[in-house]
Amino acid sequence: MKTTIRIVFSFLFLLLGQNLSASSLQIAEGKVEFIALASPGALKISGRQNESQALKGNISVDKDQITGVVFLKLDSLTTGISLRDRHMKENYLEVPKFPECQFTYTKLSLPSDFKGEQIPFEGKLKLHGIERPVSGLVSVEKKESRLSLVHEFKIKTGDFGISTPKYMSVTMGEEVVVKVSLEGNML
Amino acid sequence: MIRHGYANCITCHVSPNGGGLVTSYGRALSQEVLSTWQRENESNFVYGLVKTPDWLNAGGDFRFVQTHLDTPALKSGRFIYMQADVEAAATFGKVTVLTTFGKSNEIEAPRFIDNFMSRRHFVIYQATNEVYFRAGRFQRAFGINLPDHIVGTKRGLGWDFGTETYNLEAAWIGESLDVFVTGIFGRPDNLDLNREKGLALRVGHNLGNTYKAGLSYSYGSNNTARRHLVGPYALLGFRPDLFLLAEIDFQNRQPTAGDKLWGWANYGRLDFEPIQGLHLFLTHDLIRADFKNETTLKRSYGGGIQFFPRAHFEFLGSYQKQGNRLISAEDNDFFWLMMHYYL
Repeated sequence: MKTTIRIVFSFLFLLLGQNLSASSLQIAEGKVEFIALASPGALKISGRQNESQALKGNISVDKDQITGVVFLKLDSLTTGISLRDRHMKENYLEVPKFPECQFTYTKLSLPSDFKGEQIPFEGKLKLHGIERPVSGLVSVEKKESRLSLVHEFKIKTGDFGISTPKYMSVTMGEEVVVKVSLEGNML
Repeated sequence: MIRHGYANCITCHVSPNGGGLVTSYGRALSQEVLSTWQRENESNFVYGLVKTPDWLNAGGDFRFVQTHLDTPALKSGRFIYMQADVEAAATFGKVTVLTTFGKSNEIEAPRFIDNFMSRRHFVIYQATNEVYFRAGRFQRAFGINLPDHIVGTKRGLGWDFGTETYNLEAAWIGESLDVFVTGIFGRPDNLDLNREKGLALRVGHNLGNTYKAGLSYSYGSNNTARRHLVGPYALLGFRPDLFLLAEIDFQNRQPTAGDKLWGWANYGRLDFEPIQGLHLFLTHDLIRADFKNETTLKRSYGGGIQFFPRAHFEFLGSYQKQGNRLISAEDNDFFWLMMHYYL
């Protein structure tokens, strides 16, 4: 009898513990940056989102697993040159037609301790109306209830049905390095 | 352009080392990020009135300057026509041929034909996205390729406007590193000019998106001397509206008759752009051919305003304290206004 009670209590405790450990990340700061190479002259075209509210998400941390979705309003992207921004949004990303991109975690297992090391992650990125699997590395840091995730991954514009960006005599390479930083409190 | 993330000249210029004719992309960018006011397609060749085929790139530069010099012994003003050149480049696949043609700076040309000249003409072969070969008449790659050719690191070292030589150049222009190797063959078409023959090497390294630093070396000899030059340079784009250009070159010159001389040249420009197209700048430049001889010192320091109101136009006004120790122990006042119009 005592053993049965102990097992039931242990089971309840585990369930309760599991519920307590599941929490959501309230994104306080989100930042997206990207960089691509163009030729001639190995021109680095770098960009970022210029509105802090353009990146939103719904992320859950359950034990060591991170799940959830992050959205970015593509109209917020800027490369520092307005004509280039206009071409990027109108001719290539087609922002009026596809105003947002969406990232969904499919696999991210957090380490037992958070020391800022880079760990692999997998997800799905929906961009320009096309969803493709992506993978990369994420740096994770946790200080008390504050969690910081810095993801870096590469995409190819062609995989998302985006034609090779070209303007006058300059042609951009197909590969784009994307860096997504998320920071917030665990609730 | 380093402040906007453009670390390599060839993105906007036909020449791998920059200067002169701009590409169609360079024209668009000059309108978009360099000019105060702009209208769509305004920067096109002659405002788009003349359509050129895709393989042909055309342009032209007209520069005039008014100077005013004020010394205790002399007050003088001069209007100088500096440049009136047209320039064209034809690209066929991986090969580009470029030439300039314009009025020479000869004041009393002995023959009619001597009133005209081609300052630069060369052939470029682009082997890969990163590798370029160039042969023809152009200025060697050394330090910062400044349009301001009167400073110590240009005129002071003998690389003024019009001193281009026949060269063979190989360049590797990569994501973070660029290397230029130039074989210099002087002016075999005009030996009286006694231009140097030798070689030059320049290596630049991009530090982040808006900073670049590098090192240049040049060896040259002519009938009167041989010399080695070496020095670092940096282009630092702190912000899109604030940048610094700096170059220091040390020279070891061995005249055919006489002792070896050690000297140096340096240049610095701190530039702030409060409104797009309007630049406020401070400059310093110096050349001292012999550290042991004070009279070899020439220097200037001052400031000015540079204004790019619309595509095709550039105005520059500068006030400098200028000293030439061979002439005077005092610094003079020197003021100049420059107008540049490009087709």
